[in-house]
Amino acid sequence: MTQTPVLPAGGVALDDAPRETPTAQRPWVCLVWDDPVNTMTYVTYVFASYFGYPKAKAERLMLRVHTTGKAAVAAGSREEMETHVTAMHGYGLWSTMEPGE
Amino acid sequence: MKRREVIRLVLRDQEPRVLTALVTELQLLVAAPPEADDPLENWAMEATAAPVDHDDPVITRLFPPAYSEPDLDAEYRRLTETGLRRAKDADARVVAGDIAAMGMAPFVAIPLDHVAPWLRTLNALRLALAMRLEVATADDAEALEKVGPDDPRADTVQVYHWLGYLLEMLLSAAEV
Repeated sequence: MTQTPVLPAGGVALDDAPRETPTAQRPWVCLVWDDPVNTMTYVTYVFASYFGYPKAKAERLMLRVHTTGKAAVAAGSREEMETHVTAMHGYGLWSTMEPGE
Repeated sequence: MKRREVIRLVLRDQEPRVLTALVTELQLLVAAPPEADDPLENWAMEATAAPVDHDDPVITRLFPPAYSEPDLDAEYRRLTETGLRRAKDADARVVAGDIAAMGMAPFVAIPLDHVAPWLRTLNALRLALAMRLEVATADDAEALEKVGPDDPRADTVQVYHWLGYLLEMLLSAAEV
């Protein structure tokens, strides 16, 4: 069903108004970077045990880190990603966070 | 099938002593502020605790930046660093405690709920030694394989490889 936007006196469609506050809503991502010391088995273990990812997914993410240099391992609110990055630092992984696309 | 409640990791001769010394060194490095039961007293101790030395590459590797923007990262560090220092110290204490409980046994008994602190600590020690050995790239790491017995780094390299071996043994024993 198509709705015709309501046009106020100024002629701007209400649908054009920004929804909520985009900066607060924008998801963040937790990145893990490749490094020459952490072993592949250890990184897989961290992804599986901390995030609870199935082994296949944990291995896929580990290989992405290893072959492309980094991987986004989680996405969500800034607060959630800070918690994840801190946990990654606790495990000795090289992790950063940035706003998602 | 019943899961084993304890994992036995073989540590012989000088190995328990060497590992304990490394763990103690790690605890001195992270220098976690003491923790009090009273939150206000706790806050005061955190506020007056000496900061870790971020000019030390080992510290930078153990406490890396979370944000590329310096202001955001300073705020992140202010909020999280004390907790991280205490967490690494608590992990190290678990490891030291299990080694101290070995007695005359040729192995250390690691309860399953101690596996994560053990893995994190063994990994932190590898990272610290790698920084001391100036391993920055995969080529650097590979070059360690060619360090001969006459090289001044030989002992450190040997300990680095041994820690990697213990880490892999524990990972496969825990079947995680």
